Amino acid sequence: MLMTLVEGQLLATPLSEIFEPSSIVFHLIALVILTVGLYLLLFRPVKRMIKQRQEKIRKIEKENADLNEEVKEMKSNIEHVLSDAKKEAAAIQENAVRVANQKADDIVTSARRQAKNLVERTEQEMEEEYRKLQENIEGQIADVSLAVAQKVLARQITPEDDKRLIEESLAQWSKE
Amino acid sequence: MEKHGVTARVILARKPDLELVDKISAFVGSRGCSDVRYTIDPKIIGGIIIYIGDRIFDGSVRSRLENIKQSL
Repeated sequence: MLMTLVEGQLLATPLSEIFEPSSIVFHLIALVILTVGLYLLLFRPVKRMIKQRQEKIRKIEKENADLNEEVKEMKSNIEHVLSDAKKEAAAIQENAVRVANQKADDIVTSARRQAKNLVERTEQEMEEEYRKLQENIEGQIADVSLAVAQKVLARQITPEDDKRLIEESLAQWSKE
Repeated sequence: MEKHGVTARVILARKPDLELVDKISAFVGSRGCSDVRYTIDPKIIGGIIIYIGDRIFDGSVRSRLENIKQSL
């Protein structure tokens, strides 16, 4: 028995009135209809939407995975390029050092050769100047000696000596 | 080649005596000269220089000293 409060009076309703078979069937049919309606109007769209969302998420994850793969590949390529660039830079530096050393050696060799040539030329010039100076001094000595001899002979040659010289010259020329 | 009639020019340091003049005349005569012109030049110091045509006989002390200078 079900107790109902109506206008301050507690009324008693029998269970047989409440659980009427037609009403139960009606409720069951209504429940089925409601369930089918909910399934068709709510559950399927929601399920379809969830499926679409899942597809979208999978697609995004796949894109992310592709992007990650691409990023990894780019990173690998960049590292490879960087490694090559470092190797090339090292090779360029080594070559530059080698070329600089070669140029330095060439400059030093050239400077030594020029210095040697300069020293040789200077020595030749000094030798030439020394020879000229020596000849000049010898010439001056000869000039002075000749002047002294002329003065001495001019004073010391007597008329007899002069006559004898002339006679010797005439005798020599007569033999020719 | 000396030719007759050419005048010889003789340079001496001092005036010659007659004996020397004769010897000089004999020499230039042997070279075809008929006349001698004397010049006194003390710069030759001593000895004699004779010009006959284009030939020069140089026996002066100055030329001997010049030769010595050249050889030095």
